[in-house]
Amino acid sequence: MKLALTVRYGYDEELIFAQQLGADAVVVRFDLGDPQDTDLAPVAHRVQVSGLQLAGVELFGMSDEFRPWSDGLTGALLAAQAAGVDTLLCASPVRQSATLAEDLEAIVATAMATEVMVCLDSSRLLPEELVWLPAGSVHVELAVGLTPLEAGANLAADVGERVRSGGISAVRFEGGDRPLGDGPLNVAACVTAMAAAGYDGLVRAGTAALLATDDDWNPKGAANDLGYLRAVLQTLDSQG
Amino acid sequence: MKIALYTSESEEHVAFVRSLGLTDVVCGMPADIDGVVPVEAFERRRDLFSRHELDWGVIENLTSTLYDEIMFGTPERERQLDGVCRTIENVGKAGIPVLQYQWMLLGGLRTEYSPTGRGGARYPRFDSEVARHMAAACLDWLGGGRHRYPHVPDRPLSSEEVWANLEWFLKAVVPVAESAGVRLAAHPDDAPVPEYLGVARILIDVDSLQRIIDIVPSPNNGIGFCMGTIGTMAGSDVVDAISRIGGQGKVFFAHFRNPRGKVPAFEEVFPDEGDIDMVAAVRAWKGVGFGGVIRIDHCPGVVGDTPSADRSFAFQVGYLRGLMQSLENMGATA
Repeated sequence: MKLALTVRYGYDEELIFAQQLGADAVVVRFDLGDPQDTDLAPVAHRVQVSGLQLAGVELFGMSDEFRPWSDGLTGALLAAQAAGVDTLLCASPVRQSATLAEDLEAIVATAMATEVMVCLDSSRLLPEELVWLPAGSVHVELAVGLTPLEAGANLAADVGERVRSGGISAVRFEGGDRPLGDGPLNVAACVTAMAAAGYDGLVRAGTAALLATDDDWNPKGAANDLGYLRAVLQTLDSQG
Repeated sequence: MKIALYTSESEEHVAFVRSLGLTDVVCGMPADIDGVVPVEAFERRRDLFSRHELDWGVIENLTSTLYDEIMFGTPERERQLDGVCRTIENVGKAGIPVLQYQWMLLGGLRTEYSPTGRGGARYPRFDSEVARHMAAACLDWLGGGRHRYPHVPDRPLSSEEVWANLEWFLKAVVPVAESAGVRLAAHPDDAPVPEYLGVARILIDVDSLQRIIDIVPSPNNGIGFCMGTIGTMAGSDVVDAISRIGGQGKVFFAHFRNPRGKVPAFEEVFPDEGDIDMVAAVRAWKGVGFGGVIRIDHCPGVVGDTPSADRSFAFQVGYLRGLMQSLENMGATA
């Protein structure tokens, strides 16, 4: 599995932080207002010269507020192709048609043509939509810790089953207001179940808990989460 | 095994430790004191931590200026001994079960802090060749102030002398610790080199830690097991050492750190990239049934960090928690 840290576009400190803490890769996140569908080449370049791999670009909070969702994502796919970015992580499809299949028709075609993968957030999809995916190179990012994969006795088995069913190309762990390893979310058990199911894709922590005295991008919480995930992966590796 | 961070009396830092989800802290004694540390000094800190739902299970360390004359074996040692014994009694009265001390007459040693680590992280390093003619290798001098301890020695001291001084100390204080309900934990010499500026350093291999245990057999006489220091000892194997010392129930406190290299030269790196197989080490801790406090030790300097290196420590807390929970899930034992 590839361990990534999510960093914000344009914040060099976060790139350095990711490299120092030993992330295999970064996911660069664009917030609303960032030039998300204009030119991704500078993003790819900054990551490359920082000695990191670019695991994907996350289009955070993209909605119909500024332009039609599918137009925005289509533009981002073309920009990704031009910049050599192979994965877009996209939270929330906007429903305009009767089914997700209709809403995604153009996206599926563009993703296939550009050979760029789109990962939709499992917590923003209905159960029947999760079953429908993958569609071409439109896949799912499992958001473990959020509905419908909340902490509970059967969570690891559920996560393993989702991975076995296919179409999962990224997994994100959301600890809520607790650092990973502290709350009820048994991340280690989930990762073990994912490995048993043959998962070998991207793993990252979600929004880090805001720890006392931390800065606005939660680096202390993010450091805890990255260290936790690194240890879980190393333990798995040691088991062969 | 209870993960802890070192903290001070800073309310902000204590709150940070608690927000990481930790329930245990380690803290020192008031610095620059002579004589006896009053029980109130311990109670004030203990109560501060309690308000944040944190347990203070280990004092790190016995303040060096309380017993430096004893370490050097000067005529002043009798006077200091009485103060140390009264201080140990006060530690017991405050309900703090473990007191760590060290026997480094010239303190901890490092020679460099350079931004040559992963991604330009600053790694503390030690190189015997560099330290050979460098009095400033003593960690305690890095603060820039004048210190009575450690000081540049005015004569050489042999290994036999330093051992004799330690034996004199242990025979006097261990019975006091037994009565006070305090367990004494000896930290090994960091860096574990045989001498510095002509003064012998004696706790530089695992056999020397065993020797401490054997000098005064007592349930209150044991070791502060510093994984980093032991990992840098010539010829050492940390996993074996955990089994050997921990298997006797003689580890009263532990430090979690993963160095790269051994004496004569080593550096302190992130825990996931050092020489120690940390998965095997945590499995060994589980195997010997260690249930005490393990404190996250020194760490590399990372970009934008606080003076107390919260980001770097948070990474290590997460890392150790990840190892422990992974092994727990796998039902692993030694």
